[in-house]
Amino acid sequence: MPNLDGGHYFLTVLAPIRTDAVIDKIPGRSRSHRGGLAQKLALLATGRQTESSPKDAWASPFSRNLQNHLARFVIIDGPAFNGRVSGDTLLAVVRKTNPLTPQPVDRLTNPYLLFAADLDQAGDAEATLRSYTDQLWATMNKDLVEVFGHCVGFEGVDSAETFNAYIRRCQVETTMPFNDYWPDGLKVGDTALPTRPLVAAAVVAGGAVVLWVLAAILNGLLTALGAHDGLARMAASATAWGVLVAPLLVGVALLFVWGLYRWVVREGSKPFGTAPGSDLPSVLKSLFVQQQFTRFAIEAQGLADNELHSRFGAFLKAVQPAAATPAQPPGEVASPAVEWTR
Amino acid sequence: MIQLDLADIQGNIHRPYGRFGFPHSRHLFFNIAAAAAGRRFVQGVRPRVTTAEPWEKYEGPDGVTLLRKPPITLNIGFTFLGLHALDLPTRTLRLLPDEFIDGMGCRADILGDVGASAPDRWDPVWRYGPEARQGQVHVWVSLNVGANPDGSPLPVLEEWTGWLQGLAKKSGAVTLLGGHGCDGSALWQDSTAIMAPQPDGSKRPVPKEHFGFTDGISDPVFRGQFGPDAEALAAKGGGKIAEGPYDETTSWSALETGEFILGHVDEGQEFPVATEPQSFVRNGTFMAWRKLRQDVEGFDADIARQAKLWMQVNGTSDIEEAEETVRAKIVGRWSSGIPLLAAPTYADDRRLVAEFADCIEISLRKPRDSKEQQRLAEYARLLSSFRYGDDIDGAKCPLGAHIRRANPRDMLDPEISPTKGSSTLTNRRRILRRGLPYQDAGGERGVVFMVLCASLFRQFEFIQQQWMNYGLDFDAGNDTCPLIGNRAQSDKHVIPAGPASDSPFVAAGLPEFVTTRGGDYFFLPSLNAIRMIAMGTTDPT
Repeated sequence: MPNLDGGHYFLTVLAPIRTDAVIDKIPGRSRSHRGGLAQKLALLATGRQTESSPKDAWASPFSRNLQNHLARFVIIDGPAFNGRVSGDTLLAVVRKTNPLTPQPVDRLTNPYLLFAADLDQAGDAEATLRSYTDQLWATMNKDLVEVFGHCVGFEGVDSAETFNAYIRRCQVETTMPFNDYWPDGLKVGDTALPTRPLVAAAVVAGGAVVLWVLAAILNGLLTALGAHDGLARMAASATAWGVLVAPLLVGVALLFVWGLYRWVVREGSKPFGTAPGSDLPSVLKSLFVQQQFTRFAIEAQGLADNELHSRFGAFLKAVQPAAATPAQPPGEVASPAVEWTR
Repeated sequence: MIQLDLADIQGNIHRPYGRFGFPHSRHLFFNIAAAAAGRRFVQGVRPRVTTAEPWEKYEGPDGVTLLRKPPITLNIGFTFLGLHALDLPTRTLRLLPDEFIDGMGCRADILGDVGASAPDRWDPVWRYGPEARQGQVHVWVSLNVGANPDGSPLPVLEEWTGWLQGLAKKSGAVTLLGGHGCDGSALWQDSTAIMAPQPDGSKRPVPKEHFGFTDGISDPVFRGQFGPDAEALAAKGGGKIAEGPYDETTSWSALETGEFILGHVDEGQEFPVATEPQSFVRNGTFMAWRKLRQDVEGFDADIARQAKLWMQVNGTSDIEEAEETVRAKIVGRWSSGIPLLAAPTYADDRRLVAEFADCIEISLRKPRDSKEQQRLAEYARLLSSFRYGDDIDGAKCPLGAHIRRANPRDMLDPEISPTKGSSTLTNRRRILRRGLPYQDAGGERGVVFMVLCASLFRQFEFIQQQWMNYGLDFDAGNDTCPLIGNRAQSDKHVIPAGPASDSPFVAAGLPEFVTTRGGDYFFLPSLNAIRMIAMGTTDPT
């Protein structure tokens, strides 16, 4: 599966964290880049996520662009280790496995910073990534320099161009993206697997082999009985021809199956189309409409028909369901209430 | 080779400061009455916490040393009650080890802190009962400084003490807890290396404790503690002994990091059990802080008494040799630090002391040339690299001697022989020991003893309960450690016949030489976890 799927780009970046010490002027004081990075990430604004967030909490810098749905930083210190892999005790005795001899433990030579984000498609894969890194650089380059400054090879990154190059250097392919914007299921349509020709190929190849085997059995039987009539001759020549024809037919059928497999793989690697209304502006707009409509539905309970009609007109005018704005601001958990004429 | 994030690990885990030119140490204890004030206090202390990064190693482009040795070090730890007072999440608190939650006072029965060592007789600062004079101990901060030529601490110690007091005051609800010393009048606990007067009138710290023994030898060595060469060297005697035929050059290797630092693989081939989240635990460790009073007069008097009987039993007349031998047979090392395994008799000890006389002087100065390094390595090998397969019946070093109990090496291997024997059964019972002697205002002497390990229960408490205050693993019945054990059940120590004596000898009627004066269990977080505590961002979900 590619980075780009279902109208979304799934960005996965693994940047190695520097292991050289950050040395203070005061004797004896040093800190690690990993520690500095963890502190920076802890201080990155997350906005007003809950009622207990500070009233004046700063919004996440990632809410300054309208392309990313989610963005995430994680520090990876090492691969998972679940302890010694123990097997069958009896087998271990037979194999003379000494449980005291430690098994190898995987370790990283340095920790990694994982940066993962899912973005709206903007052109092809390359153009999408470029438009995203450009927006990030334009809206939060100070944070980016602080964060990635703790990573290896970030020296000299000072422009949208070089930032894009850095991200591409550290990018790993997202092999298992998760798309949640097909609530009614994806219409597969003509991309369904063509099983009919598959059956035909199987019948032709299988039938040829069966006929050949039957002819061979018949030939053997008749030879054993000492028959030399027309049927025996036919069976003998069918057997002889079968040696040539049956593998050929089987070969053709296999070739066909191989072609089919290639077709499946090719179809499989084609990104899905964009799910309707799954880009971030549409999502923000629909969240906005949902919340406003809930308010409308509550206040419209029990209204007379004409009143309801005019109130709904006012609601539509204020909420503008078909227009891009007003909408929920990115990075917020709820939309501010809009007012309509009553 | 394991590369540890040394800048994330507190410096006292890697370094016994006393041996790094910091002979003075001050221990301050604080109580937190409000979480926000506590976090402010931790945040104030945080920038000054000393890490395990090696000093003098980094050089700038112009050859300047970038990370110089500081004049003073600072480290910090928290009791369970302290972490609770700092409002850590319930999940993080409740998953902490039971013994840490209990605290040292509650574990008195296990630790053998009974009789004169019982918690109700500890220094007032440690008494939290209903009649407690003050609040519980929540935070431990230790300062270590160098000494002036006259042996006194550098003035920066007072400066930093004042700064800490100011910080506590400024934070609003953090109190420096006094109540140290038997009368409870001291505001903190000082400890200082014993100073030897020099011909020029100056004083120099020596690695001795009050009974007169050389202390701080043969600490365990773990992976990642040193560079590869230093690790291989230090592991001889300090590491673990592999199975198979014993060969000094190949049998020793460093213990797994996870025995001493949390979040790393341990000798059980798993991560040590601590709490969640992993980011809070990783690179931290646990510490038992113990103030141990030493009855020096009582010890000397009893040694004199035993030595007289020793001479009578063995038909010898050299009182000095008899006293030194009884001392050595109790500890397992001569006062010089040379082990009985290397020098079974007093004459051997004297000979080796003379042979390695230059090493004491070399070890006290820097820099050293490669020849001197080599010499020190030889000396270190003499002090630590030995095994009990060479002394199965305790003829040289009695089975119940202090160092055999504290670190039995290969002696618990059921198949131990002069040619083979591994330390498998003891690899998970090793502890890092830190600390310096103290002498309180009233004249009380002892040692501030700190134990660092990944599991206080499995490592420290096991050694204390099974090996120090009980003797079955050493075929010694109920006998306790002749040096630091309590005498609730037994007061004897059996010394088999051997090179130093023709007859077996039972040192009986031993009084308690060491009593506990207080202490507690502390969590020493990584620098990252200290930040999480200060910011209130520990999130175990």
